[in-house]
Amino acid sequence: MKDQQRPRKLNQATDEERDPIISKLLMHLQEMRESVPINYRLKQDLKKRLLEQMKQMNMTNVEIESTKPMKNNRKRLSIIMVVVGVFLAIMLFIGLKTDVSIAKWQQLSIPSMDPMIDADLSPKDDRIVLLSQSHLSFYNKEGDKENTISLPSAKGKIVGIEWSPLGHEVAWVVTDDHHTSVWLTNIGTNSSRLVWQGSPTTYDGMDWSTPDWLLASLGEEVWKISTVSSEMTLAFTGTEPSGSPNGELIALHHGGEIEVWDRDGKLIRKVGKGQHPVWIENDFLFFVDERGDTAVVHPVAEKMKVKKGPALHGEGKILFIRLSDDRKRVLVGRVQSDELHLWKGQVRK
Amino acid sequence: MLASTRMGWGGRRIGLATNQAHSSENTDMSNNSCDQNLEERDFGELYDEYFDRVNRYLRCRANNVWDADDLTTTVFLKALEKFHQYDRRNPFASWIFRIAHNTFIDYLRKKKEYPLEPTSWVFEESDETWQPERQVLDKEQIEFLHEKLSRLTGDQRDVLTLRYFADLKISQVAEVLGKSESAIKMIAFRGMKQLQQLVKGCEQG
Repeated sequence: MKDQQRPRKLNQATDEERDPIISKLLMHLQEMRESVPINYRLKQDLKKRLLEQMKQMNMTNVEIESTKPMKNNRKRLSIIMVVVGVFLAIMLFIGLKTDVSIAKWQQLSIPSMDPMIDADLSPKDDRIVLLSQSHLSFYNKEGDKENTISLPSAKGKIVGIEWSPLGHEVAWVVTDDHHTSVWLTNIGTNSSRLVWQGSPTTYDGMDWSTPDWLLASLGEEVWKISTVSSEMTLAFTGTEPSGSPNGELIALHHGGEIEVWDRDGKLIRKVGKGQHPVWIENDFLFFVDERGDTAVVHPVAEKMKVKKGPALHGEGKILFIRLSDDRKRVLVGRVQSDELHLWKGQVRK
Repeated sequence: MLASTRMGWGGRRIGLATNQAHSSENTDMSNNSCDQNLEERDFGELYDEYFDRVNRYLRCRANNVWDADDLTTTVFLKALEKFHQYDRRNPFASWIFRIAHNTFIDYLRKKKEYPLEPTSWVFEESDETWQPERQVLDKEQIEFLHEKLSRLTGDQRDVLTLRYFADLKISQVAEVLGKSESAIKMIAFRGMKQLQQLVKGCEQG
Protein backbone atom coordinates (compact mmCIF):
# COMPACT_ATOMS: atom_id res chain seq x y z
CA MET A 1 0.00 0.00 0.00
CA LYS A 2 2.77 2.32 0.89
CA ASP A 3 4.61 1.56 -2.29
CA GLN A 4 1.48 2.31 -4.24
CA GLN A 5 1.06 5.60 -2.55
CA ARG A 6 4.56 6.89 -2.89
CA PRO A 7 4.27 7.54 -6.62
CA ARG A 8 0.96 9.32 -6.03
CA LYS A 9 2.62 11.45 -3.43
CA LEU A 10 5.42 12.27 -5.77
CA ASN A 11 3.01 12.92 -8.59
CA GLN A 12 1.41 15.52 -6.39
CA ALA A 13 4.77 17.10 -5.65
CA THR A 14 5.83 20.43 -6.96
CA ASP A 15 8.15 20.85 -9.88
CA GLU A 16 10.97 21.54 -7.49
CA GLU A 17 10.29 18.29 -5.71
CA ARG A 18 10.46 16.49 -9.02
CA ASP A 19 14.03 17.55 -9.31
CA PRO A 20 16.04 14.32 -9.44
CA ILE A 21 18.20 15.21 -6.47
CA ILE A 22 15.25 16.40 -4.44
CA SER A 23 13.30 13.33 -5.38
CA LYS A 24 16.19 11.28 -4.17
CA LEU A 25 16.27 13.35 -1.02
CA LEU A 26 12.61 12.79 -0.46
CA MET A 27 13.05 9.09 -0.87
CA HIS A 28 15.88 9.20 1.60
CA LEU A 29 13.87 11.26 4.04
CA GLN A 30 11.07 8.74 3.85
CA GLU A 31 13.48 5.91 4.39
CA MET A 32 15.08 7.81 7.19
CA ARG A 33 11.67 8.39 8.72
CA GLU A 34 10.90 4.71 8.58
CA SER A 35 14.27 3.93 10.09
CA VAL A 36 13.33 5.75 13.21
CA PRO A 37 12.50 3.11 15.83
CA ILE A 38 9.11 3.36 17.50
CA ASN A 39 8.96 2.69 21.20
CA TYR A 40 6.14 0.16 21.24
CA ARG A 41 6.68 -0.61 24.89
CA LEU A 42 6.02 3.02 25.59
CA LYS A 43 2.96 2.78 23.40
CA GLN A 44 1.57 -0.03 25.55
CA ASP A 45 2.53 1.53 28.85
CA LEU A 46 1.23 4.92 27.88
CA LYS A 47 -2.02 3.37 26.73
CA LYS A 48 -2.48 1.79 30.15
CA ARG A 49 -1.66 5.08 31.80
CA LEU A 50 -4.09 6.94 29.60
CA LEU A 51 -6.71 4.33 30.27
CA GLU A 52 -6.29 4.81 34.01
CA GLN A 53 -6.45 8.54 33.58
CA MET A 54 -9.56 8.22 31.48
CA LYS A 55 -11.16 6.12 34.17
CA GLN A 56 -10.42 8.83 36.69
CA MET A 57 -11.68 11.47 34.31
CA ASN A 58 -14.75 9.40 33.65
CA MET A 59 -15.35 9.11 37.39
CA THR A 60 -14.88 12.82 37.71
CA ASN A 61 -17.21 13.24 34.81
CA VAL A 62 -19.74 11.04 36.50
CA GLU A 63 -19.29 13.03 39.68
CA ILE A 64 -19.80 16.20 37.75
CA GLU A 65 -22.84 14.70 36.15
CA SER A 66 -24.08 13.49 39.49
CA THR A 67 -23.65 16.92 41.00
CA LYS A 68 -25.77 18.44 38.29
CA PRO A 69 -28.96 16.86 39.60
CA MET A 70 -27.92 18.02 43.06
CA LYS A 71 -27.56 21.51 41.72
CA ASN A 72 -30.85 21.08 39.93
CA ASN A 73 -32.33 19.72 43.13
CA ARG A 74 -30.99 22.72 44.99
CA LYS A 75 -32.51 24.95 42.39
CA ARG A 76 -35.75 23.05 42.57
CA LEU A 77 -35.61 23.16 46.34
CA SER A 78 -35.09 26.89 46.20
CA ILE A 79 -38.02 27.26 43.86
CA ILE A 80 -40.13 25.03 46.05
CA MET A 81 -39.11 27.01 49.11
CA VAL A 82 -40.00 30.24 47.37
CA VAL A 83 -43.32 28.79 46.26
CA VAL A 84 -43.97 27.46 49.75
CA GLY A 85 -42.97 30.82 51.17
CA VAL A 86 -45.36 32.59 48.86
CA PHE A 87 -48.03 30.04 49.64
CA LEU A 88 -47.47 30.46 53.36
CA ALA A 89 -47.51 34.20 52.96
CA ILE A 90 -50.78 33.94 51.10
CA MET A 91 -52.14 31.59 53.71
CA LEU A 92 -50.89 33.89 56.42
CA PHE A 93 -52.44 36.77 54.61
CA ILE A 94 -55.70 34.87 54.35
CA GLY A 95 -55.40 33.78 57.92
CA LEU A 96 -54.83 37.27 59.12
CA LYS A 97 -56.88 39.10 56.64
CA THR A 98 -59.38 41.42 58.13
CA ASP A 99 -60.98 42.51 54.96
CA VAL A 100 -64.10 40.47 55.48
CA SER A 101 -66.72 43.05 55.13
CA ILE A 102 -70.43 43.22 54.85
CA ALA A 103 -71.70 45.66 52.32
CA LYS A 104 -75.00 46.76 50.92
CA TRP A 105 -76.64 46.83 54.27
CA GLN A 106 -80.34 46.96 54.01
CA GLN A 107 -82.81 47.19 56.81
CA LEU A 108 -85.73 44.98 56.09
CA SER A 109 -88.96 46.85 56.52
CA ILE A 110 -91.36 44.01 56.78
CA PRO A 111 -94.87 44.88 57.74
CA SER A 112 -95.95 42.53 60.50
CA MET A 113 -98.91 42.77 62.76
CA ASP A 114 -97.28 40.49 65.36
CA PRO A 115 -94.07 41.02 67.25
CA MET A 116 -91.22 39.27 65.48
CA ILE A 117 -89.39 36.64 67.53
CA ASP A 118 -86.90 35.16 65.12
CA ALA A 119 -86.05 35.09 61.42
CA ASP A 120 -84.00 33.09 58.98
CA LEU A 121 -82.85 33.07 55.39
CA SER A 122 -83.80 30.32 53.04
CA PRO A 123 -80.85 28.18 51.89
CA LYS A 124 -80.97 29.75 48.45
CA ASP A 125 -81.31 33.21 49.89
CA ASP A 126 -84.46 33.81 47.93
CA ARG A 127 -86.83 34.05 50.87
CA ILE A 128 -87.00 35.15 54.47
CA VAL A 129 -89.09 33.52 57.13
CA LEU A 130 -90.27 35.49 60.11
CA LEU A 131 -91.41 33.81 63.28
CA SER A 132 -94.12 35.32 65.33
CA GLN A 133 -95.99 33.86 68.18
CA SER A 134 -98.58 32.07 66.14
CA HIS A 135 -97.35 31.69 62.63
CA LEU A 136 -94.51 31.66 60.13
CA SER A 137 -94.51 34.39 57.52
CA PHE A 138 -92.56 33.99 54.27
CA TYR A 139 -91.30 36.93 52.25
CA ASN A 140 -89.52 37.12 48.96
CA LYS A 141 -86.35 39.14 48.33
CA GLU A 142 -88.36 42.22 47.53
CA GLY A 143 -90.03 42.07 50.91
CA ASP A 144 -93.37 40.96 49.60
CA LYS A 145 -95.19 38.49 51.76
CA GLU A 146 -95.71 35.18 50.01
CA ASN A 147 -97.57 33.09 52.49
CA THR A 148 -98.24 32.43 56.17
CA ILE A 149 -98.33 29.15 57.98
CA SER A 150 -100.15 28.88 61.28
CA LEU A 151 -98.33 26.93 63.93
CA PRO A 152 -100.16 24.14 65.67
CA SER A 153 -99.04 24.73 69.21
CA ALA A 154 -99.88 28.26 70.01
CA LYS A 155 -100.20 27.76 73.75
CA GLY A 156 -96.53 27.88 74.56
CA LYS A 157 -93.86 30.42 73.75
CA ILE A 158 -92.21 29.94 70.41
CA VAL A 159 -88.58 30.77 70.81
CA GLY A 160 -86.71 30.06 67.59
CA ILE A 161 -86.70 28.75 64.04
CA GLU A 162 -84.19 27.27 61.61
CA TRP A 163 -84.66 26.68 57.92
CA SER A 164 -83.67 23.20 56.85
CA PRO A 165 -80.77 22.76 54.39
CA LEU A 166 -83.05 21.35 51.72
CA GLY A 167 -85.36 24.32 52.11
CA HIS A 168 -88.66 22.50 52.36
CA GLU A 169 -88.96 22.45 56.15
CA VAL A 170 -88.57 24.83 59.00
CA ALA A 171 -87.74 23.68 62.51
CA TRP A 172 -89.09 25.65 65.41
CA VAL A 173 -89.02 25.31 69.17
CA VAL A 174 -91.84 25.99 71.55
CA THR A 175 -91.84 25.76 75.27
CA ASP A 176 -94.60 25.93 77.79
CA ASP A 177 -95.05 25.02 81.40
CA HIS A 178 -94.94 21.31 80.69
CA HIS A 179 -92.71 20.75 77.74
CA THR A 180 -90.19 22.07 75.43
CA SER A 181 -90.83 20.77 71.95
CA VAL A 182 -89.08 20.77 68.59
CA TRP A 183 -91.36 20.83 65.57
CA LEU A 184 -90.90 20.64 61.86
CA THR A 185 -93.25 22.41 59.51
CA ASN A 186 -93.32 21.45 55.86
CA ILE A 187 -93.55 24.62 53.82
CA GLY A 188 -95.15 22.94 50.85
CA THR A 189 -97.90 21.11 52.71
CA ASN A 190 -98.26 23.45 55.67
CA SER A 191 -98.15 20.36 57.88
CA SER A 192 -96.20 20.20 61.11
CA ARG A 193 -94.81 17.29 63.06
CA LEU A 194 -93.25 16.94 66.47
CA VAL A 195 -89.71 15.57 66.41
CA TRP A 196 -88.75 15.92 70.01
CA GLN A 197 -90.38 16.82 73.28
CA GLY A 198 -88.95 17.04 76.78
CA SER A 199 -89.15 18.80 80.08
CA PRO A 200 -89.29 22.56 79.90
CA THR A 201 -85.86 24.01 79.41
CA THR A 202 -84.12 26.97 77.98
CA TYR A 203 -83.49 27.28 74.31
CA ASP A 204 -80.44 28.93 72.75
CA GLY A 205 -80.32 28.25 69.07
CA MET A 206 -80.42 25.51 66.47
CA ASP A 207 -78.50 24.41 63.43
CA TRP A 208 -78.92 21.63 60.97
CA SER A 209 -75.85 19.43 60.83
CA THR A 210 -77.29 17.38 57.99
CA PRO A 211 -80.75 17.30 56.40
CA ASP A 212 -81.65 14.52 58.85
CA TRP A 213 -80.02 15.78 61.98
CA LEU A 214 -80.69 18.91 63.91
CA LEU A 215 -78.44 20.39 66.53
CA ALA A 216 -80.54 22.12 69.18
CA SER A 217 -79.36 23.90 72.27
CA LEU A 218 -81.69 22.85 75.03
CA GLY A 219 -80.85 23.57 78.64
CA GLU A 220 -77.22 24.61 78.00
CA GLU A 221 -76.69 21.40 76.12
CA VAL A 222 -76.44 20.76 72.43
CA TRP A 223 -78.53 17.81 71.40
CA LYS A 224 -78.33 16.04 68.14
CA ILE A 225 -81.86 15.22 67.15
CA SER A 226 -82.82 13.00 64.26
CA THR A 227 -85.58 14.45 62.11
CA VAL A 228 -86.45 11.07 60.63
CA SER A 229 -86.46 8.92 63.76
CA SER A 230 -86.84 9.25 67.50
CA GLU A 231 -83.11 9.10 68.00
CA MET A 232 -81.35 11.88 69.84
CA THR A 233 -77.99 12.17 71.54
CA LEU A 234 -76.25 14.64 73.71
CA ALA A 235 -73.50 16.05 71.60
CA PHE A 236 -71.92 18.96 73.47
CA THR A 237 -72.30 21.16 76.46
CA GLY A 238 -73.06 24.67 75.38
CA THR A 239 -75.39 26.85 73.41
CA GLU A 240 -75.70 28.47 69.97
CA PRO A 241 -74.35 25.53 67.97
CA SER A 242 -73.11 26.26 64.47
CA GLY A 243 -71.82 23.59 62.15
CA SER A 244 -69.16 24.37 59.58
CA PRO A 245 -70.29 24.08 55.95
CA ASN A 246 -68.46 20.77 55.51
CA GLY A 247 -69.85 19.41 58.78
CA GLU A 248 -66.40 18.76 60.23
CA LEU A 249 -66.44 21.35 63.00
CA ILE A 250 -68.96 22.74 65.41
CA ALA A 251 -68.65 26.08 67.10
CA LEU A 252 -70.66 26.83 70.20
CA HIS A 253 -70.92 29.16 73.10
CA HIS A 254 -69.93 27.71 76.42
CA GLY A 255 -69.08 29.43 79.67
CA GLY A 256 -68.99 32.80 78.00
CA GLU A 257 -66.49 31.58 75.41
CA ILE A 258 -66.60 30.41 71.86
CA GLU A 259 -65.39 26.85 71.49
CA VAL A 260 -64.68 24.83 68.39
CA TRP A 261 -65.13 21.07 68.43
CA ASP A 262 -64.72 18.46 65.81
CA ARG A 263 -67.45 16.03 64.82
CA ASP A 264 -65.94 13.33 67.06
CA GLY A 265 -66.38 15.43 70.18
CA LYS A 266 -62.80 16.62 70.47
CA LEU A 267 -62.21 20.17 71.57
CA ILE A 268 -60.18 21.88 68.90
CA ARG A 269 -59.79 25.31 70.36
CA LYS A 270 -61.21 27.84 72.70
CA VAL A 271 -61.49 30.95 70.61
CA GLY A 272 -62.24 33.42 73.35
CA LYS A 273 -65.06 35.32 74.88
CA GLY A 274 -67.97 35.97 72.59
CA GLN A 275 -71.29 34.71 71.28
CA HIS A 276 -73.32 34.03 68.13
CA PRO A 277 -70.67 32.05 66.26
CA VAL A 278 -71.34 31.36 62.59
CA TRP A 279 -69.09 29.91 59.95
CA ILE A 280 -68.23 32.14 57.03
CA GLU A 281 -66.24 29.32 55.46
CA ASN A 282 -65.10 25.90 56.57
CA ASP A 283 -62.10 27.43 58.31
CA PHE A 284 -63.28 30.87 59.26
CA LEU A 285 -65.52 31.62 62.12
CA PHE A 286 -67.43 34.81 62.53
CA PHE A 287 -68.74 35.80 65.96
CA VAL A 288 -69.55 38.71 68.23
CA ASP A 289 -66.94 39.38 70.85
CA GLU A 290 -67.47 40.47 74.41
CA ARG A 291 -67.47 44.14 73.44
CA GLY A 292 -70.23 43.57 70.95
CA ASP A 293 -67.94 43.88 67.94
CA THR A 294 -67.65 41.21 65.31
CA ALA A 295 -64.54 39.11 64.97
CA VAL A 296 -63.11 36.65 62.48
CA VAL A 297 -60.88 33.79 63.42
CA HIS A 298 -59.19 30.79 61.83
CA PRO A 299 -59.70 28.43 64.74
CA VAL A 300 -57.72 25.50 63.36
CA ALA A 301 -54.67 27.56 62.45
CA GLU A 302 -51.54 26.69 64.38
CA LYS A 303 -51.25 30.23 65.59
CA MET A 304 -54.74 31.47 65.88
CA LYS A 305 -55.30 35.17 65.69
CA VAL A 306 -58.61 36.83 66.28
CA LYS A 307 -59.11 39.70 63.93
CA LYS A 308 -61.66 42.38 63.87
CA GLY A 309 -64.60 41.40 61.75
CA PRO A 310 -67.00 43.36 59.63
CA ALA A 311 -69.08 46.04 61.21
CA LEU A 312 -72.72 45.19 61.62
CA HIS A 313 -75.03 47.94 60.65
CA GLY A 314 -77.34 49.52 63.15
CA GLU A 315 -77.44 49.78 66.87
CA GLY A 316 -78.78 47.60 69.61
CA LYS A 317 -78.09 44.20 70.98
CA ILE A 318 -77.47 41.49 68.44
CA LEU A 319 -79.92 38.72 68.94
CA PHE A 320 -78.80 36.43 66.17
CA ILE A 321 -76.70 36.22 63.05
CA ARG A 322 -77.71 33.97 60.19
CA LEU A 323 -75.93 33.20 56.98
CA SER A 324 -77.27 31.82 53.75
CA ASP A 325 -75.96 28.48 52.63
CA ASP A 326 -73.55 30.04 50.19
CA ARG A 327 -72.30 32.21 53.06
CA LYS A 328 -72.68 35.33 50.98
CA ARG A 329 -75.71 36.81 52.67
CA VAL A 330 -76.02 37.65 56.30
CA LEU A 331 -79.11 38.37 58.29
CA VAL A 332 -78.65 40.12 61.58
CA GLY A 333 -81.37 40.57 64.14
CA ARG A 334 -80.94 43.45 66.55
CA VAL A 335 -83.14 44.57 69.34
CA GLN A 336 -83.78 48.23 69.28
CA SER A 337 -86.35 49.84 71.52
CA ASP A 338 -87.61 46.40 72.51
CA GLU A 339 -88.25 45.58 68.91
CA LEU A 340 -86.42 43.18 66.66
CA HIS A 341 -85.00 44.84 63.60
CA LEU A 342 -83.56 42.90 60.69
CA TRP A 343 -80.56 43.90 58.65
CA LYS A 344 -79.42 42.09 55.60
CA GLY A 345 -76.00 42.47 54.06
CA GLN A 346 -73.66 40.98 51.52
CA VAL A 347 -70.56 39.27 52.80
CA ARG A 348 -67.37 40.17 50.98
CA LYS A 349 -64.23 38.09 51.58
CA MET B 1 -8.27 -3.22 16.21
CA LEU B 2 -11.22 -3.60 18.43
CA ALA B 3 -11.88 -0.92 20.96
CA SER B 4 -12.90 -2.81 24.04
CA THR B 5 -13.32 0.16 26.33
CA ARG B 6 -15.06 3.38 25.59
CA MET B 7 -15.68 6.10 28.04
CA GLY B 8 -17.48 9.34 27.79
CA TRP B 9 -15.78 12.61 28.47
CA GLY B 10 -17.13 16.02 27.79
CA GLY B 11 -19.79 14.52 25.65
CA ARG B 12 -17.27 12.89 23.37
CA ARG B 13 -15.97 9.39 23.14
CA ILE B 14 -12.42 8.96 24.31
CA GLY B 15 -12.36 5.22 24.52
CA LEU B 16 -8.93 3.65 24.53
CA ALA B 17 -8.43 0.36 22.84
CA THR B 18 -6.95 -2.15 25.24
CA ASN B 19 -5.44 -4.39 22.65
CA GLN B 20 -2.10 -5.34 24.13
CA ALA B 21 -0.50 -6.44 20.91
CA HIS B 22 1.99 -4.21 19.25
CA SER B 23 0.27 -2.22 16.62
CA SER B 24 1.88 -2.59 13.34
CA GLU B 25 3.22 0.26 11.39
CA ASN B 26 -0.01 1.74 10.28
CA THR B 27 1.04 5.09 9.10
CA ASP B 28 2.40 6.00 5.81
CA MET B 29 3.03 8.99 3.70
CA SER B 30 -0.57 9.09 2.70
CA ASN B 31 -2.98 10.84 4.95
CA ASN B 32 -6.21 9.09 4.29
CA SER B 33 -7.44 9.28 7.85
CA CYS B 34 -7.19 13.04 7.78
CA ASP B 35 -9.27 13.30 4.67
CA GLN B 36 -12.46 12.64 6.59
CA ASN B 37 -14.73 15.60 6.87
CA LEU B 38 -15.64 14.81 10.43
CA GLU B 39 -13.40 12.89 12.78
CA GLU B 40 -15.60 10.30 14.45
CA ARG B 41 -13.03 8.02 16.01
CA ASP B 42 -12.57 8.03 19.74
CA PHE B 43 -9.36 8.89 21.54
CA GLY B 44 -8.25 5.30 21.79
CA GLU B 45 -8.46 4.74 18.08
CA LEU B 46 -6.71 8.00 17.35
CA TYR B 47 -4.00 7.17 19.88
CA ASP B 48 -3.38 3.85 18.22
CA GLU B 49 -3.06 5.50 14.88
CA TYR B 50 -1.05 8.58 15.77
CA PHE B 51 1.31 7.31 18.45
CA ASP B 52 3.82 6.04 15.94
CA ARG B 53 3.87 9.25 13.96
CA VAL B 54 4.20 11.45 17.00
CA ASN B 55 6.83 9.27 18.56
CA ARG B 56 8.78 9.15 15.35
CA TYR B 57 8.53 12.88 14.81
CA LEU B 58 9.80 13.60 18.29
CA ARG B 59 12.53 11.01 18.03
CA CYS B 60 13.66 12.76 14.89
CA ARG B 61 13.74 16.08 16.59
CA ALA B 62 14.84 15.47 20.14
CA ASN B 63 18.40 14.89 21.05
CA ASN B 64 17.84 11.47 22.49
CA VAL B 65 15.21 8.78 22.54
CA TRP B 66 14.54 9.23 26.22
CA ASP B 67 13.59 12.84 25.82
CA ALA B 68 11.60 11.95 22.70
CA ASP B 69 9.62 9.30 24.57
CA ASP B 70 9.03 11.61 27.50
CA LEU B 71 7.82 14.22 25.07
CA THR B 72 5.56 11.67 23.39
CA THR B 73 4.06 10.82 26.76
CA THR B 74 3.55 14.48 27.51
CA VAL B 75 1.90 15.04 24.15
CA PHE B 76 -0.72 12.33 24.62
CA LEU B 77 -1.40 13.26 28.22
CA LYS B 78 -2.01 16.81 27.09
CA ALA B 79 -4.13 15.56 24.22
CA LEU B 80 -6.29 13.51 26.53
CA GLU B 81 -6.68 16.42 28.87
CA LYS B 82 -7.69 18.75 26.06
CA PHE B 83 -9.53 16.27 23.91
CA HIS B 84 -12.84 17.90 24.69
CA GLN B 85 -11.49 21.04 22.99
CA TYR B 86 -10.72 19.21 19.79
CA ASP B 87 -12.97 20.34 16.96
CA ARG B 88 -13.75 17.20 15.03
CA ARG B 89 -14.36 19.12 11.87
CA ASN B 90 -10.61 19.63 11.65
CA PRO B 91 -8.04 16.89 11.02
CA PHE B 92 -6.79 15.23 14.15
CA ALA B 93 -3.29 15.22 12.68
CA SER B 94 -3.10 19.01 12.73
CA TRP B 95 -4.37 19.11 16.28
CA ILE B 96 -2.11 16.44 17.74
CA PHE B 97 0.97 17.72 15.95
CA ARG B 98 0.32 21.24 17.10
CA ILE B 99 0.49 19.86 20.60
CA ALA B 100 3.57 17.84 19.69
CA HIS B 101 5.30 20.79 18.10
CA ASN B 102 4.51 23.14 20.97
CA THR B 103 5.69 20.52 23.42
CA PHE B 104 8.89 20.22 21.48
CA ILE B 105 9.35 24.02 21.45
CA ASP B 106 8.94 24.03 25.24
CA TYR B 107 11.48 21.24 25.38
CA LEU B 108 13.94 23.26 23.34
CA ARG B 109 13.54 26.25 25.64
CA LYS B 110 14.29 24.13 28.67
CA LYS B 111 17.16 22.50 26.86
CA LYS B 112 18.69 25.91 26.30
CA GLU B 113 18.61 26.48 30.02
CA TYR B 114 19.92 23.02 30.83
CA PRO B 115 21.84 21.78 27.78
CA LEU B 116 22.45 18.07 27.53
CA GLU B 117 24.97 16.19 25.48
CA PRO B 118 23.15 15.06 22.33
CA THR B 119 23.09 11.38 21.61
CA SER B 120 22.25 9.63 18.41
CA TRP B 121 18.80 8.12 18.14
CA VAL B 122 19.47 6.30 14.92
CA PHE B 123 22.11 3.99 16.16
CA GLU B 124 20.58 3.19 19.49
CA GLU B 125 19.66 -0.45 19.26
CA SER B 126 19.44 -0.93 22.98
CA ASP B 127 15.71 -0.24 22.80
CA GLU B 128 14.28 -3.72 22.71
CA THR B 129 11.09 -2.48 21.13
CA TRP B 130 12.89 -1.23 18.11
CA GLN B 131 11.70 -2.95 15.00
CA PRO B 132 14.14 -1.90 12.31
CA GLU B 133 12.54 -4.05 9.69
CA ARG B 134 11.99 -1.09 7.45
CA GLN B 135 15.37 0.40 7.81
CA VAL B 136 16.61 0.65 4.27
CA LEU B 137 19.27 3.29 4.75
CA ASP B 138 22.50 2.37 6.37
CA LYS B 139 23.78 4.09 9.46
CA GLU B 140 26.02 6.42 7.57
CA GLN B 141 23.27 7.56 5.24
CA ILE B 142 20.89 8.26 8.05
CA GLU B 143 23.49 10.05 10.08
CA PHE B 144 24.42 11.99 7.01
CA LEU B 145 20.86 13.16 6.38
CA HIS B 146 20.31 13.96 9.99
CA GLU B 147 23.40 16.04 10.10
CA LYS B 148 22.36 17.93 6.99
CA LEU B 149 18.93 18.56 8.38
CA SER B 150 20.42 20.01 11.50
CA ARG B 151 22.16 22.60 9.36
CA LEU B 152 18.91 24.00 8.03
CA THR B 153 17.18 26.95 9.63
CA GLY B 154 14.71 26.32 12.42
CA ASP B 155 11.71 27.06 10.18
CA GLN B 156 13.02 24.77 7.48
CA ARG B 157 13.61 21.98 9.97
CA ASP B 158 10.14 22.45 11.39
CA VAL B 159 8.48 22.38 8.01
CA LEU B 160 10.47 19.49 6.60
CA THR B 161 10.20 17.31 9.65
CA LEU B 162 6.49 17.96 9.91
CA ARG B 163 6.06 17.45 6.20
CA TYR B 164 8.18 14.37 5.76
CA PHE B 165 8.57 12.82 9.19
CA ALA B 166 5.21 13.62 10.68
CA ASP B 167 3.62 13.04 7.30
CA LEU B 168 1.44 16.13 7.31
CA LYS B 169 -0.06 17.91 4.35
CA ILE B 170 1.05 21.44 3.52
CA SER B 171 -2.21 22.78 4.93
CA GLN B 172 -1.72 20.84 8.13
CA VAL B 173 1.86 22.00 8.52
CA ALA B 174 0.62 25.53 8.01
CA GLU B 175 -1.96 25.03 10.72
CA VAL B 176 0.54 23.56 13.16
CA LEU B 177 3.06 26.33 12.65
CA GLY B 178 0.50 29.09 12.35
CA LYS B 179 1.67 30.15 8.91
CA SER B 180 0.05 30.40 5.52
CA GLU B 181 0.22 27.51 3.10
CA SER B 182 2.18 29.60 0.61
CA ALA B 183 4.70 30.45 3.32
CA ILE B 184 5.04 26.77 4.17
CA LYS B 185 5.50 25.90 0.53
CA MET B 186 8.18 28.55 0.23
CA ILE B 187 9.94 27.42 3.38
CA ALA B 188 9.72 23.80 2.25
CA PHE B 189 11.08 24.67 -1.17
CA ARG B 190 13.98 26.64 0.25
CA GLY B 191 14.67 23.95 2.79
CA MET B 192 14.79 21.29 0.10
CA LYS B 193 17.02 23.43 -2.06
CA GLN B 194 19.28 24.03 0.89
CA LEU B 195 19.33 20.36 1.67
CA GLN B 196 19.99 19.63 -1.98
CA GLN B 197 22.98 21.94 -1.99
CA LEU B 198 24.27 20.43 1.21
CA VAL B 199 23.99 16.95 -0.26
CA LYS B 200 25.46 18.04 -3.59
CA GLY B 201 28.33 19.69 -1.83
CA CYS B 202 29.08 16.55 0.06
CA GLU B 203 28.77 14.37 -3.03
CA GLN B 204 31.03 16.73 -4.97
CA GLY B 205 33.45 16.99 -2.10
